[in-house]
Amino acid sequence: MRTWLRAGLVIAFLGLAGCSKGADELYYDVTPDDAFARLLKADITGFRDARQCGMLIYFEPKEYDATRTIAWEVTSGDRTVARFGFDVIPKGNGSVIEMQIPKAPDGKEIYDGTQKYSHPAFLQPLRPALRELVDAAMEQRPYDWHRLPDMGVDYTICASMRQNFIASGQPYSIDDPSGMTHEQAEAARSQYGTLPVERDDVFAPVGL
Amino acid sequence: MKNRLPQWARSLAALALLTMLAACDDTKHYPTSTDAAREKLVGTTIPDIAFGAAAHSAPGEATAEGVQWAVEVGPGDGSVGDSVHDIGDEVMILKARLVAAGDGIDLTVDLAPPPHVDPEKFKALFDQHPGMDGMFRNIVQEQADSVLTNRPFSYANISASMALAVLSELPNIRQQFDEDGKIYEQHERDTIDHAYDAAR
Repeated sequence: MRTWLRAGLVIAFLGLAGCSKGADELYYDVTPDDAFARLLKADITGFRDARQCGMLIYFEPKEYDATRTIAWEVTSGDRTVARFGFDVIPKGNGSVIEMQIPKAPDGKEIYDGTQKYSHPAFLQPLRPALRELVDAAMEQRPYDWHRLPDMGVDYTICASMRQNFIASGQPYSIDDPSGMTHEQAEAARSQYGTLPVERDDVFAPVGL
Repeated sequence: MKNRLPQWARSLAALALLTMLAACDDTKHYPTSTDAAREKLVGTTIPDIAFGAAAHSAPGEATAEGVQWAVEVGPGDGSVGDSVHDIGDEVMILKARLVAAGDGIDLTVDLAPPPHVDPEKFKALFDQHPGMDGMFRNIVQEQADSVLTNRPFSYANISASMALAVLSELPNIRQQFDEDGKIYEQHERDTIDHAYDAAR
């Protein structure tokens, strides 16, 4: 291989390596106060509609003005099924939005694309879907799932339960056995009484 | 390794097809009389390969100007037509006009609406889909030429205009996909929102 070609390849690889860290950083040319105000108005309903599975989920926001932090507790029934948040960090003339996603029991992030849930709340992976939530908020526009990177076809239980929900209009419940539609669970309950229902350990134990 | 054509090459190929078709003269000359040509063309049918399974040609009928073929939707076995679109069985007339010229005839082709279709709407439809217009003209031209030169109808002679028709329809197909996608997404949002409202 010619020397100049080798040199070109080395420079290209170095360039790519230099890009990779910055590509993950959510920097916006918006003042921290503005960035925080925009996050407070993030299109959480659009995000929910685009990424939820077949059961109803509710978002309870918690805002911390002093640290410019907003976090959402996601519940279904009386259970917490997910949690995430954003910190606004001043940087230069703009802001970096730092994503806070809790750890799963295996030490990875919850909903990182490898987690298995009997009653999932979201299509996985969560992180790129949250990035669009931030992008949309900073650009002051509705959530747009078309802007998500190609994550392949989702064959998980989340996708199939979501399809059932859209087709029937009937969500399933976190108290229905995994894989059953709400109608099927109701029919089984009326025949057999209480049904065994799987529970997910979504979060890593506190302290890990 | 599979050799895939880059975008510029595909565009060039499409342009070449266009140029080839543009070079085709709409008028063809045959060393015969109008009566003899009409006699040969009447009663012939355009092979189904030209229309696919969705439509077929009725036998050629004599007209004052030459010969015409009615294109009918549905299979060629006399079964059901297209009642869904309320357009009857006959959707188009393909015409071959025969005009005495010198020692023979000049043959030109045209598309016309059947009696129950509004000519303005028919014209507007093909104005919006010029690739389809060119394809049907090419089909009737090939039918007439193959009969008048005593050879079988050749798919190869219409394949370029068919490919061009498909290429020119790609934006419409894409647009249709996009519109269907938007309708489905709205349905998704409405269903989800309704479920949350009902749960309140």
